[in-house]
Amino acid sequence: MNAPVLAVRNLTKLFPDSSRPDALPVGVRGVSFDVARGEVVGLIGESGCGKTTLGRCIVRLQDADAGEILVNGIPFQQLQGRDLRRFRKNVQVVFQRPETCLNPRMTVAVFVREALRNFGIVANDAAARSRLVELANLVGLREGALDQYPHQLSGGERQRVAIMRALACEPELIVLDEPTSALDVSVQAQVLRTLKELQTVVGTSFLFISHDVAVIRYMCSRVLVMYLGVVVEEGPAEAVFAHPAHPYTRALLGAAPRIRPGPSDPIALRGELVLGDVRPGECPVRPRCPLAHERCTQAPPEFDLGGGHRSACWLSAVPPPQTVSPTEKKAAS
Amino acid sequence: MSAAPLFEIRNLSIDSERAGIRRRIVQDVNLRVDPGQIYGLVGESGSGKSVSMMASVGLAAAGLVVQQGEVAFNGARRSAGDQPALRRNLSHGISLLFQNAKGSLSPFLTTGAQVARVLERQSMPRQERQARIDELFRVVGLSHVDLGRKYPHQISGGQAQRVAMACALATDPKLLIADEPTTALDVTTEREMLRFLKRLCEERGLAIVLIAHNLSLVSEYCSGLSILHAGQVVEEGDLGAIFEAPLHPYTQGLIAAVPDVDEPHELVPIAGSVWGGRDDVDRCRFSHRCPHAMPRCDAGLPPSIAIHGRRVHCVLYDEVVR
Repeated sequence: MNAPVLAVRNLTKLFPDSSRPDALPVGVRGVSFDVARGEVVGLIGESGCGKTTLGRCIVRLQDADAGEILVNGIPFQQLQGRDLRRFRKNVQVVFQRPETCLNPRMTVAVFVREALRNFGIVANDAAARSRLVELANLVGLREGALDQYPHQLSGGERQRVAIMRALACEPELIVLDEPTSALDVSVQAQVLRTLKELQTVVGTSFLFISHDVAVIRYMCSRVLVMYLGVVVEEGPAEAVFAHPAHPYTRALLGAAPRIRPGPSDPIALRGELVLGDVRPGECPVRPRCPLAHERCTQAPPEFDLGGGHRSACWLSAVPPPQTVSPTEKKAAS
Repeated sequence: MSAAPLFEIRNLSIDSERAGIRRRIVQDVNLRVDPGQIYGLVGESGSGKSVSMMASVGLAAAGLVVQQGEVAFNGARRSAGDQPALRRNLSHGISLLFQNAKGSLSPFLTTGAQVARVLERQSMPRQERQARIDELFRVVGLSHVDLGRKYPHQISGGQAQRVAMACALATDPKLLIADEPTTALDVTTEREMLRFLKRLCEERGLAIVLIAHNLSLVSEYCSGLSILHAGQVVEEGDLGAIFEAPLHPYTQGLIAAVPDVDEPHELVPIAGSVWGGRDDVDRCRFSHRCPHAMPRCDAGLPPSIAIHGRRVHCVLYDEVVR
């Protein structure tokens, strides 16, 4: 197998709240995962779980406190200056609200040509034009839109322009941060289908960040579930959705709105995420988890459930975890 | 048919006038809500769901002209054009709940003071207010935290929505119009909030109009449903009947466009956009996106056909009934 397109090792980026030094800081704490070539990995979690921070660190809009990000085996974080600028071509991002990332004073063609020129992908303007038409067809944007300004486009079209710009750089990985959350359902379906088709044609790897579990299920082959900065469960989408192991994942899946409501899952989290309730060194879900018990005051390690499916919950530890030494987790308390 | 509805909108039509151009943005909308019922109003953005509900309580925005229609609440029937009269229903039986809870709370007042203001407007004597505030906070599930002295920026989105809820309930309403009340919340909080609203209806006989842009949100909580597209109701009636066999092409399209958590299926997008067609008055405004469109669709308003527990506004079912 090839080296993974993206390897994240122990990535940490915390935002301590200076007015509340005792509360647990939000952010990302010690996350590790890989994205293989051509894979679509989903990142699910509720607001404040650190999924956007993780995405921003990966495209280096934010520098991590600690940990490593390897893109094609190259440590992205250590690059500086010109090397960094050239390397940015490999990792692109699409944001939730396209209107905030498009330039209102540039037509679509001018805007996307900036990207093509910046990375020297096309030789001259004539070549750029034909590449633009090609890209527009790829993302399902009508050709007429190329010479229009963002305000003349619909929300769905704007998001296609943002995807088109990311794609123009011919990246190895695109981080999609809630790309369809601001769109209506009919438009969301159009954009999701385009992304899926695009992925099979171009073969770019996606890291797809969303709070909508149904969207993740549609798009992704592998998923990571985050809560308060840590990955609580990960694995192949099939396994995680059919047999969610972590109580948080079960609650998240159970709470997802459905056209055909099924029998309701007995697991429901208590209340809301209150940072002050979580003590360092314990399982972050404990204060809200209906299945919490004494052992949860120590953060559980990730238990392997087979087939790459892992869950960070003591309840996933079958057989009983005599072999697991909790000593290293005690240090924080 | 049950006796008298609690709230009824009849033939509501609204025009918008901007830069001298008149467009009909709500066309002949009808809606009836029984006591204790949760009624869903679903449509994509710009379909006119908020506009029609706001106009029905006298809050039509500037630049909108209510062309025709009647609103009946609690037995009193008024013309929809008489907005000041409709406004009097607010705080006399109708309350509102909005999407952005923090935006609907004053940043200068503690949460307790917000509710106190509402009670003051209700002419409740000062010495009785605190007991009532405590009771309301208990009802909305905020009693365990000492929230009354906090300002909106110090609380979470879910808590802010509960405070807004306490303000809405302070007037003892019979009808709550909830405009996408959970869109800004996380799914686990959203579920808790909607279950809470449902319990209120069961226990206190409160009726709710739940405005949503997503069909999957209403499925579990509502008994009746209207689906709006470009200001026209396309299908309305019993929720179970509609979900079991959606008849209007738009309803079918909406269901096929939503990804499913349990059984992933290929998504079938609806072509075009809500206002992509011509917005002349007398035609079906879905025809430019409809896979079954025919010349008749543009020849006049679609017929309203009662069939299997709902009304569908589409020429496709014209023959079925005859």
